[in-house]
Amino acid sequence: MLSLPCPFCGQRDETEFLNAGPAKPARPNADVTDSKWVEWLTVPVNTIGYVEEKWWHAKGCGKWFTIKRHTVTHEIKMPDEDGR
Amino acid sequence: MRVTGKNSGRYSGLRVIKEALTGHRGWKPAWRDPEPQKEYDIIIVGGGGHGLATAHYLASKFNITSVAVIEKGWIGGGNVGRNTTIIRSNYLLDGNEPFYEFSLKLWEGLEQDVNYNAMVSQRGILNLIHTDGQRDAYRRRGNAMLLNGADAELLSAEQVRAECPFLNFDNNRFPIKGGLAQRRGGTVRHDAVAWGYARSADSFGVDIIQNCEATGFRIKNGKCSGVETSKGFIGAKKVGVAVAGNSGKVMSMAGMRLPIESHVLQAFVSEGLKPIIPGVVTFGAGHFYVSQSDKGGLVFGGDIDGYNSYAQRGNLPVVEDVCEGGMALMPMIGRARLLRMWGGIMDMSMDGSPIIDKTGIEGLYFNGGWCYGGFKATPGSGWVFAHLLANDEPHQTATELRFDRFQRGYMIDEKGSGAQPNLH
Repeated sequence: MLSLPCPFCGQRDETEFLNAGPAKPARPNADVTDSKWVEWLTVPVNTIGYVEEKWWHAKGCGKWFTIKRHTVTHEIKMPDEDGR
Repeated sequence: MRVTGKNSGRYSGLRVIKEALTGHRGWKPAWRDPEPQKEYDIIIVGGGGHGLATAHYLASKFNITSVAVIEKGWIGGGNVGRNTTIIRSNYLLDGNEPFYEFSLKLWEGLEQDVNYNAMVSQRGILNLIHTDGQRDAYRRRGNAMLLNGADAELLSAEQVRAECPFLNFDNNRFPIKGGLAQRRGGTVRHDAVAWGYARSADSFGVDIIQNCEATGFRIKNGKCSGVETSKGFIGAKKVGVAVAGNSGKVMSMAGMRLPIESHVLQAFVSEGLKPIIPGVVTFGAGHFYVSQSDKGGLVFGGDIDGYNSYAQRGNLPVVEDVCEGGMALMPMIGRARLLRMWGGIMDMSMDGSPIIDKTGIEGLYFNGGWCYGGFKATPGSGWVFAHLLANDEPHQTATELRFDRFQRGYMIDEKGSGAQPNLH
């Protein structure tokens, strides 16, 4: 069971949240090439290591937030913990 | 071409009796343990079901025997060793169904082909129907299967009751209204698939090199000339990658990013019980599928954990969710104890369908994106990947399983849930 840091409620169990996938790079502008657009749509961030991802506290306060989670150890830190 | 008896001899009932009478002194290792040669025609990265099947078909059907399979651990230690052993071809879409039916036909002749008892058991698979809309969808799916030469049978609630009286038919939320049966589906002893293919490939002279991890590809001017491994560089005219959950990691060594996200899927085995479940049964209102192994354990699984992961272990909320599904479907299992569970890494593609294709790099080929449906595809995947490696052309059943289908807008979205890897 993951314990996730909701910015509003504090540490809560994984079952209260929905994962919304890795945080994507910014949506490209309309003049982007077809291949870059398809890449943005279909090629996900699939890192071994820390991945920045979005969670929704769906069964709690409803807050959306971003964390960094390690995809092997499941260690969690906030995105700004390493100087971002 | 085949050197039967070169190493382990031909297996047969007569041989078992003969060995029993002579103190079992005649059994030999089922495959050699060779050191890598300097160069091969083809290197397969990944000694799992798909990689070993590819090597077997390259040697036996395409007469290419200068082949090495390199595996970072021991063969069959990845997803072919951790799955729910189900075989079936109950797919809907044109891009998928011919391929899976081709694969199911290969299962039917597998044991004779590789001379190895893989315990292929066509005990049937039953997808349950809980709503009128679902019956329409399954009727359509069954017709698509029939059109592609597979078998399908739509059952009424009474017919399902006669076959599986233990199901919870009168569940208030999800009453069982019927089912779609595929009688030729069933289960296979999964480890034996890897071992059988390995032994057969070895008998044709394929080198199976274990404890040999690929650490990089040698790529120059857009052409791949071999693989850097923990046992040194091995040259090859062509390199085929079939590494399932490690696809993202391995292909990133060639500078490629894939339309794949890695997720963990758990499966479960109960303690051994007397025979109670006749075939494979899938719950249509939740995500739960179950069969009973020949040892008596209930083998079942459900959803992926829901967030991308390379950890080969799952989390408890999904254990609870899967067991709830099981209890809703067949309350009789409530007293059975869970014996063990495990998590495997699935290469979840964007549309839920696999990719067997050339890459942008000459001499480098990719086979992956099997989501959690790779086991049933093992023989078909091996054959069509061997076909692609040998001929540089896709096999007729795999013409749609290409990288560029997302760009062309021809996704094979069996579930109709859009480009979301965690929904398939």
